[in-house]
Amino acid sequence: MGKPILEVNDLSVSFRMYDRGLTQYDLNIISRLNVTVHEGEIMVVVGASGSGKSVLAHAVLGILPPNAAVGGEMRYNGAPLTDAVRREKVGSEIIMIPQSVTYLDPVMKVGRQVCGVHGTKAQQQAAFRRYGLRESVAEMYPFQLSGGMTRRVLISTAIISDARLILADEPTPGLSQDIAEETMRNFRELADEGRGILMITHDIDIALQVADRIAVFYDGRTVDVCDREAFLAGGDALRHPYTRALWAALPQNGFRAVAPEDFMKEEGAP
Amino acid sequence: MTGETASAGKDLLLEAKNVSFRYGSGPWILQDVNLGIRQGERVGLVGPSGYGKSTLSRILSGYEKPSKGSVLWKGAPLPRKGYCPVQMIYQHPEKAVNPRWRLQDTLSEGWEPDDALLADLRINKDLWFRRWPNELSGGELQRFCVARVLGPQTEFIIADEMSTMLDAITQAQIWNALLDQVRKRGLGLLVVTHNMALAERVCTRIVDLKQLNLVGHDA
Repeated sequence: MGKPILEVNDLSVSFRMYDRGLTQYDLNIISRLNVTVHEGEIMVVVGASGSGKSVLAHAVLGILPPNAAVGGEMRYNGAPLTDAVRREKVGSEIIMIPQSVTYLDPVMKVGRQVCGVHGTKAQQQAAFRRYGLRESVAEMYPFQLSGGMTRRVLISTAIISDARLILADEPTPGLSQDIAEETMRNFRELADEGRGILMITHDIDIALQVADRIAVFYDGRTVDVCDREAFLAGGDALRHPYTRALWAALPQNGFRAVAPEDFMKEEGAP
Repeated sequence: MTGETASAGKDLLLEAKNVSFRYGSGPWILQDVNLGIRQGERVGLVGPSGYGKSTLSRILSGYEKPSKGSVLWKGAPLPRKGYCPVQMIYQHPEKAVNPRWRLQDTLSEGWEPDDALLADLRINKDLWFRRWPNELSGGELQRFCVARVLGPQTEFIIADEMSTMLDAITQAQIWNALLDQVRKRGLGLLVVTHNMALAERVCTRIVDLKQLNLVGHDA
């Protein structure tokens, strides 16, 4: 494992909301979030929906809505991740692979979309060759692609230019087992070439095939970070009650649903 | 597996008979699909994306008419009027509920679920009934979508990737509640999923649409 490429320390995000009339209140989305991604590492983020997983990605990219207040510290490549750094790095070194097809522009040919602002035609062609997309695909519009092709187009955007940090938000839903596994192998290759990858997913089984570490979010904070081996072993190898509950709920591990109240009680923390 | 309808007994609940489908004069999506589900069976339907799993689900639940072939319910054509005994649960609950109805109204459109079922599905009556769909999470909404299809006239459930977008704990909660009802009331069940571990956990039999569907798809 290389040096840290992304460090998130005690991140908090709240949204200023309007109640009735002009009364305002703050809605805390993330309270104490910690996660570090090293070069060459795939860090998988799992947790209940609404636990702040996507908000984390948006906070790193600086694309939260204007009513959001952000606290804590984010560092990229050892230096504070400021708006100036973002302007320079996002889109070239820091890449987001979005969740679904709907993020592609429906009226722009995919070849041009993959090039984006920083890429060149040659890079796009090399990326398509690498992922087995015919050259003619560049001239197609998103609606002409199958789910698996769309996925490969999206991942092509990540290897254009010199991405060093890739944020992937739910890269697998709707993909069949073999395409999902292929996507995971692609991510593993990207990591093995020295990139850091933060992968947000519900698809724990698939993600575990390539993950190095797993960060578990619950209710806007990081409750656990464990190695892949610990998560595969399950049971006593897992420290936090929520992580154990998540493990036990998988279809192959018992399919048991523990109510949140129960594991938080067990944790003993407020 | 395609020959199973030949030995069709009287216990067949839902049956696709030589079902073919295409939109207008477009390419065939399904061709000569035969699938029979017996009383007490829970069948998992798997297969690569683009092979027509969701289309077949919509045909089997009466939302789409097959271009050729027929859908039989207990040996007779699937009723096209009144309450359909075959009910569907979709992958994206936010697209399956009316955004301009409060959840209370969505829930009681077909029947009035009792408190025991709501408790099983962990539906928070006081907090959620008066809300609009966009004020609930996907997992919370999906609980309503499960509850609303479990009316007394429902005899068969088709779940099309219903837990794909949910975290593992929510997935287990909703499935356990649904399976409980399926067992108690002897409902038929067809489960469309990409997750083999899930299919093995909840189903008594797994079929691959790749083998049933004669369309030679070329992804």
